[in-house]
Amino acid sequence: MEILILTVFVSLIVAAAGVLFFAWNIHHRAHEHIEQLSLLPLEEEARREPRKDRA
Amino acid sequence: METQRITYDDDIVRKFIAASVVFGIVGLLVGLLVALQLAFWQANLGPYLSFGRLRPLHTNAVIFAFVGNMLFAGVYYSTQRLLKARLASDRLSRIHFWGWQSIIVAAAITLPLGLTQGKEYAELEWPIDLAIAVVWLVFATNFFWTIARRNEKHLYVALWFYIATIVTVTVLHVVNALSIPVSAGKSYSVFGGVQDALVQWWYGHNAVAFFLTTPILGIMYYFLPKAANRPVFSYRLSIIHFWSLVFLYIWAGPHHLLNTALPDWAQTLGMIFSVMLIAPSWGGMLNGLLTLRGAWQELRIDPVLKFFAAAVTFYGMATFEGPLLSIKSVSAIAHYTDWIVAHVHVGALGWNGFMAAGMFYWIIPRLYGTQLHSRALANAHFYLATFGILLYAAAMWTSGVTQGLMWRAENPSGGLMYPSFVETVIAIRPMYWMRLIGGSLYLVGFLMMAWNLWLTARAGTAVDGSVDVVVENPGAQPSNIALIFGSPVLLSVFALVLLGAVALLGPAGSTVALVIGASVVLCAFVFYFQRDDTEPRAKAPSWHNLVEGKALAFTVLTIGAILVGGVAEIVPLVIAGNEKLALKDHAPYSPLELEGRDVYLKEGCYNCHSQMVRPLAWETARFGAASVEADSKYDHPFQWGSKRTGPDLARLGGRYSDVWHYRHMLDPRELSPGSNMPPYPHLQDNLIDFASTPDKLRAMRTVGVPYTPERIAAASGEAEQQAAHIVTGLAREAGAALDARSELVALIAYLQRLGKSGATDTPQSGDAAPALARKGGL
Repeated sequence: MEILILTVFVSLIVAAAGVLFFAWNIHHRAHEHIEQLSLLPLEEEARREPRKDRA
Repeated sequence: METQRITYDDDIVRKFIAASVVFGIVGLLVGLLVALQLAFWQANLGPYLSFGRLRPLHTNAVIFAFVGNMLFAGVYYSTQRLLKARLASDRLSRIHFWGWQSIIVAAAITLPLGLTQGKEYAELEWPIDLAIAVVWLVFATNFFWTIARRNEKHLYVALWFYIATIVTVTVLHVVNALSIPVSAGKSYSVFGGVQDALVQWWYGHNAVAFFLTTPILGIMYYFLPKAANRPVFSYRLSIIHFWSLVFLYIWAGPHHLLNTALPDWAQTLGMIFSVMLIAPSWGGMLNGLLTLRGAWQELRIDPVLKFFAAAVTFYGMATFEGPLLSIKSVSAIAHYTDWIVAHVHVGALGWNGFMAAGMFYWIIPRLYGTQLHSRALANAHFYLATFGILLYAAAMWTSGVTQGLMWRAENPSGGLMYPSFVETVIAIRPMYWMRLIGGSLYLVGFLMMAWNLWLTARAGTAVDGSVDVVVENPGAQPSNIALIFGSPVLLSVFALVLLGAVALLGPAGSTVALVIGASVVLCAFVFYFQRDDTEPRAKAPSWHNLVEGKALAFTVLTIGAILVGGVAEIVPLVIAGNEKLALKDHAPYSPLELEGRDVYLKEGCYNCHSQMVRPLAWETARFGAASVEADSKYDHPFQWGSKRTGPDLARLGGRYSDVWHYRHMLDPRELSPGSNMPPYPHLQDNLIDFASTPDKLRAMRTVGVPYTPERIAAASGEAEQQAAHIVTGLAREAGAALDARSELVALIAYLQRLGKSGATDTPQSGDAAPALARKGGL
């Protein structure tokens, strides 16, 4: 039974840590930069040029 | 501030794609041949093209040649564009390309010749291992040098996965390849037995994780948004996905060793972390699939999106099945069976193969300034390949479950219902033919893709992308040290230390540690929130935002995340394992047995036979007493295996006579009707040079095997003496005229030693066993 009590206790601690970490993120406004960064791959190239040795 | 035009090096991308397609065909063809050999043993075409030597060629070709070249192409294409910088050095790029192709060619030559280290997915001998390290270093230098010259401050998520790939593969390859050379084509792993097992599967599992998964996830994060023309579903999720995946993956290796002689604590760690892996894996899968939101209708017409969507779906299936298979009780049934083969092929053909196809179909028209030659052909490829994978997986799932259930089936009196192993081999043969059909369909689809891409390239002209960038002064930046020791990192380290204390201190101590830890965390948060009230930081960038702009800090943190698991699992076992096992009474192999073991490695016997009896009732009833750590103490490398096409051999010694082994190696079906084992008549004619035997014992002594200098000096004579004893017995019992130096004699000596301590019963020989006893196999 000792292990059951410990398991429940550890689970509660982990869950509480998760909630606190989430609150910290919200409060700290972490990751607010991200919507702009997600657009990075979508930028188009200016042009495509023939390879130099074939030009 | 000035404007520069950057022209990308796309020629190197074209080269890697071409190599990937060519080697993909080769790898699949070899795969078809080995699949045929399992269904139809006559397809074993002599010693160089037998299953044991070709199966490593198949896996190496698919993993390192096909997927390797594909990932280099994807990394080089996307990295240049995400950093708005041409690759740092054209010369390094070419050295990387030609060096990698040379390694592949070297593998294609040496593996059929039987030059192997005998470690799965790490078979290549030490000179090639050194070349791999050098070429990988060239790749890493080129990549990080390009990052240093970048014109885009932030590192997009795809680049994080590439960084994790480069640093982790370096660590894995260097540690697992540590070996003592005996000659140019022979070496022995510095790790032995249970330690080697843990290191090998730490490497093997993470080769899947960091060679077949993380770089492909990076490719997914770049090419899927490009193809769908919309941003990734959630950038926040990608941050969580990345850190949790790289941290958890590295711990999961021991799930390949469940129910073995590996200490229980390591098995449990491997199982728990494997189960946890489903969270980041599915987070990544959903992030990929949901990127297609609003674009689902495109799937009907766009073959690129079809391949990407199916690839991510296969990734989801494989990463659900992986944690399932990592549960000890499931592993008890599935391990060593074809279920595992199904699992890895869903990943390789579905996830890697389809991501490659999607990327090739998207990228080749752009690299040649034209349109794809035929969308219809690409769509046909998709449906053919999907059906092929499903057929393949269904066949192997059925075969695997059949094997697992037949091995454990009991009759009403409590004995084994199928005591002869070969009964299970015969039962699954139809599934082997079905697998062959599925694989053939996949290959046909792949050939269609190659043809389509070839015609596309011919219709266009090679072009290189370019972009105009504004070069800005980056301004003041936070230091790397400040970021590496930032509050999220310190908090994570604190949490890890706390969990470590919980694991080590026992119930009472761990409860106290948790209470103290929770109190500290709570106080820290209260303090932090109060501080923020007096110091508004609304415009300050977040810690992770800053890290994304600092490649060095990011790389150091990634190394830290991947090292924790490896160190926590391997170091205690290496330190404690040596002390514990040093007390056991177990003699090293005799010189002839060691030579025979090298023959066993050369022929790739470990590809079909395990040497690990698990402590499960049906296994001990079939194979004998459960294996313990001491059994493989002097095995450099270990030979526990991962698949049982044939029976386990851990307790084989003395079960059959020398004559039985002699006749079985020449014609397996004479003694085991229905067996699919290749015949090995060439072992009679291949002669061992006993003059080099002392060098082998010397190398073994270097890695810790207790051979005395006197025994090393007399090794050649001892080997000849033991061989003469076996040859005399074979001549008397079977009328065989064998040269005492033949590989077959040494192999018999080794097989007769398996499962014996060797301390009191040398020379090992099965002469006492009844001739041709137990006909029909184990």
